[in-house]
Amino acid sequence: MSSLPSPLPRPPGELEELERVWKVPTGIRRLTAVNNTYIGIYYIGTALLFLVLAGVLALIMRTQLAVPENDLVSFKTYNQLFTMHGSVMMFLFAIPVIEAIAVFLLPAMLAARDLPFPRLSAFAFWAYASGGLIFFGTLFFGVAPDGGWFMYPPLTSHEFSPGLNADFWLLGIGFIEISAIAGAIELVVGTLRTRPPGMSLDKMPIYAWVMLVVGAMIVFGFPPVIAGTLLLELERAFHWPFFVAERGGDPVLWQHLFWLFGHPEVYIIFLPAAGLVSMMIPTLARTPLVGYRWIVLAVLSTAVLSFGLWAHHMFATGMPHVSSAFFSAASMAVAIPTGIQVFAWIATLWRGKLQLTAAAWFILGFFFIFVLGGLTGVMVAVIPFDWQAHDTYFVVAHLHYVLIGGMVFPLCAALYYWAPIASGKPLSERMGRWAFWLMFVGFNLAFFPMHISGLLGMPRRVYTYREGLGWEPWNLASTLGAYVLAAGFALIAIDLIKNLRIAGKVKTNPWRAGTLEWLPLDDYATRSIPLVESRDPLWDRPELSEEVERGQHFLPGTATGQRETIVTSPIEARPQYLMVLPGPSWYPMLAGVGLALFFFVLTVKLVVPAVLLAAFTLAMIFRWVWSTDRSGDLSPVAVGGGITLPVSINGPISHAWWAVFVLILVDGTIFACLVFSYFFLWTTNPQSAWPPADVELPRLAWDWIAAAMWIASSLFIAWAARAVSAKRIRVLGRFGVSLTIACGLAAAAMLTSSFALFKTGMRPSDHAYGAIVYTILVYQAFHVVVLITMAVYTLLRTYKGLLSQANRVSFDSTRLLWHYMVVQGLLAIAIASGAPRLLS
Amino acid sequence: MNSHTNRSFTRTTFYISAGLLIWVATFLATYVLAAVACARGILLSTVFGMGLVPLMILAATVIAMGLTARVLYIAIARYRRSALPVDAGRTSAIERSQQMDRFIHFLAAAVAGLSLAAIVLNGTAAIAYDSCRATGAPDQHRPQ
Repeated sequence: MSSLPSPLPRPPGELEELERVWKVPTGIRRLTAVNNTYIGIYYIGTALLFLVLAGVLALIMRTQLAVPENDLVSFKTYNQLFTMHGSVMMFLFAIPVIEAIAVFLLPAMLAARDLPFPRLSAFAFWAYASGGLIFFGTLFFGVAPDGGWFMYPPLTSHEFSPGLNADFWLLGIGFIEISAIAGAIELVVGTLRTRPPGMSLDKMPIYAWVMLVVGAMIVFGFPPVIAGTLLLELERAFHWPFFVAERGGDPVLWQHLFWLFGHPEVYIIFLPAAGLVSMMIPTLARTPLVGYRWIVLAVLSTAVLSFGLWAHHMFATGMPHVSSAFFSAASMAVAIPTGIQVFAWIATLWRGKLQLTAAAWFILGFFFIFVLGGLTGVMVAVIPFDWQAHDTYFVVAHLHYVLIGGMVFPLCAALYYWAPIASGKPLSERMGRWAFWLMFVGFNLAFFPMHISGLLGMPRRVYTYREGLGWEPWNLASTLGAYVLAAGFALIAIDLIKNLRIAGKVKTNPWRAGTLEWLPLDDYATRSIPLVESRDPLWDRPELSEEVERGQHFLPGTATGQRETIVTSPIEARPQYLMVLPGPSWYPMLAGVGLALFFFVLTVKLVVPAVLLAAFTLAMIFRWVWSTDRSGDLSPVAVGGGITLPVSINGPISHAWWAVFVLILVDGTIFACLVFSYFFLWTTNPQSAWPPADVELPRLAWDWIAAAMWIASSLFIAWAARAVSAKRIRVLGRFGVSLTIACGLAAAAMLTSSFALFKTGMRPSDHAYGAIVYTILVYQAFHVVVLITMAVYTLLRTYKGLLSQANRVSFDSTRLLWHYMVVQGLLAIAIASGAPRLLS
Repeated sequence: MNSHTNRSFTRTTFYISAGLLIWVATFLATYVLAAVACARGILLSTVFGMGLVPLMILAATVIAMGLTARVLYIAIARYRRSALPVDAGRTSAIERSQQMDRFIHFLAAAVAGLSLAAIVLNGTAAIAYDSCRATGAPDQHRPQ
């Protein structure tokens, strides 16, 4: 790598070929674009649209509450308004926008040509956009969810919410979860494996550290809500009584599952914003970041500790004191790493000299508002205080201070700071400052009085209140503040509409920043991928920008005639291989839209259209994966700096392997949540009722047979793996036969376990015990169906001669997931048969 | 942890996050123990005048503190042994590798230190408030 920069001139036609390969389609075919810059802009724009829509709902609510005993909206409409406001803000704005910014910005910060799975990002976006719009549209038909954004049973159970409202939330959130998980896979694999050569972990931008950690948080934080929504929908649709106390269930189980997701979620929302602040402050203060290592520590610690706080949302549920106490302690402990970040920022500002741009004003606003919100957070972490403040407007004030202060203000700063990367020129500084002051004053006028109205006893979610309670002036002030805040947002919207465009080629660095996203950019990202030797490469080597633009670093063209980027080792960022990336395609878009429509149609119980849409979606996914899974041997290529790299790779080094591993972590966490549900319900039922006295357990002989078949299927998959090393892989040869036998064994194991359970006479709707055991089995059956489908796909590739020792990613992915499925199957048997025998 | 070698991603990740993983394990053990003991009314007797559940939590906390302190000690020692970088600009591959070493050891030590504080906070709270009593509920399962 010491032979960089490469000598000039570059070969003729090199740049033109690079431009051709990365060209974005025009016209209607622009919808097929998978470049991260385009998907990122679409994603950010859609998220901001949902911010505006949910904001309008808030204005309606505030208008209703401006005066006592108002009748602008009925209580039924009001219930839908606050539910949709919270759900849209949290699920359709906050989470998507932080992922969207990462999709847009992260590859540029890492000088990668794109994220590792561009079509996956496109699929995730289209699923989110179409599903989100359908979800929001339920408001216009009066069937929007109305049980609060956290949808507690028993209110949201079938008995008390018989309409479709709750189902729209449960199934509607499904596609958000899929989008978020897809995004997390991109973030983790992209941050660890597509950094530029030389960008070891200690030189990685703070924002990249944050997104790596946030990706991991999504991997472990979203599964509880996936499990919870599955259980609640099963209860509503089929009356499986997970949350029905009379039949062994417990509504508190939902709260545990929801908040196991819900608390990490707020840090998933806050940490990326903090990461953006960590990038902007050094540039705007004209000095390197103080305490880089301490901030990395803070981010890691916040992420892990945030998983131990969830029950501080449940202090009023009657938990034992001992449990409440350590959740309270953990809630205070998490303030330590947050404080470290704040002090690092203050130290950086102290050392430098802050340029008061619009972005800087929003950052200062963030400090003020977020710190206030953090302080009230410590207040509600004190249990006796929380018992008074729970479900009052005090909590509403707190959450808006931390979320708007902690995320929206940094987001606005980020828009003003990074807009030049998209459009080549900054937004209007004047409009930005006006917007800031309107938002800052409006926000504090809207939400500070809520602390007082809350302490005066005003509960959340009331659609009106009596005159004479002393709440009137605070509510009126909040309403006025809300409109001032909205005016601020409107100014930003006008600024974006007037000034933000996607420019093809961008060569600008208006803030004279030091990080790689400010290199000259085009549809192909940077002309060449730089060798990185420090945390602020553009400050330390001002000539780097020109060198990269002249193609004097790695991969100045396209080595294979296709879209590519370099994959590097996760710690030292040593080049390992060249990753070929897929180009534009209709299939991810059609699959995403199909999936969203499938969820919607399933919600309204139109079974035949749902089946057709499911088949359509699967067909689109099949076509997408088939065309992405490349065949043919690709010889090693030179990438510059005297380095030759293999094109594509198999085994544990490959990015596909890493993606499947992350997926297994998600899968395993969902399963762990189902197991948690089993044991939680065990603790809330009398000893004699778990299982219920009249329930027979599956016979052990069947369990042993099923277990043996699971293990045997794994062995046949291992045997098939050895057969892949052969020169010729045939469907009717050792490979194909092993794979087919493995499928048969898995199906047989599943049928055996199901038969054994069914024969006991226990039915899932009788008691929560049966419900959870059947759910675990159904979850396993889902895996069997998916894995057999993947095996059939692999056999089809083999039949077509597309599977070889060099191109075996479809089989390797199937193999990894298969072994996971077998482990899960054995655990499922242990839960269904072993646990009740042990616990009794 | 050697310089100039390909560091194992798995080992490095576990090393850096060791303190937090110990906190997770202790937290889970405390949570499960308290939940099961209070729900089932078991392990509520006393030993040496202290409830069995808080005693077990105390033991888990002490073990966790010991393990975390050990990680902290090892990481600090390794950090001190790592040579300081010659300069912060363009450096040789060896110097960059040494910078990386110091970074990893620093993180491991800092994470362990912060985790120690979290373990102490959690453990103290669980031991100090050892009651199974819930809000407004009669104290049926109060440890003796």
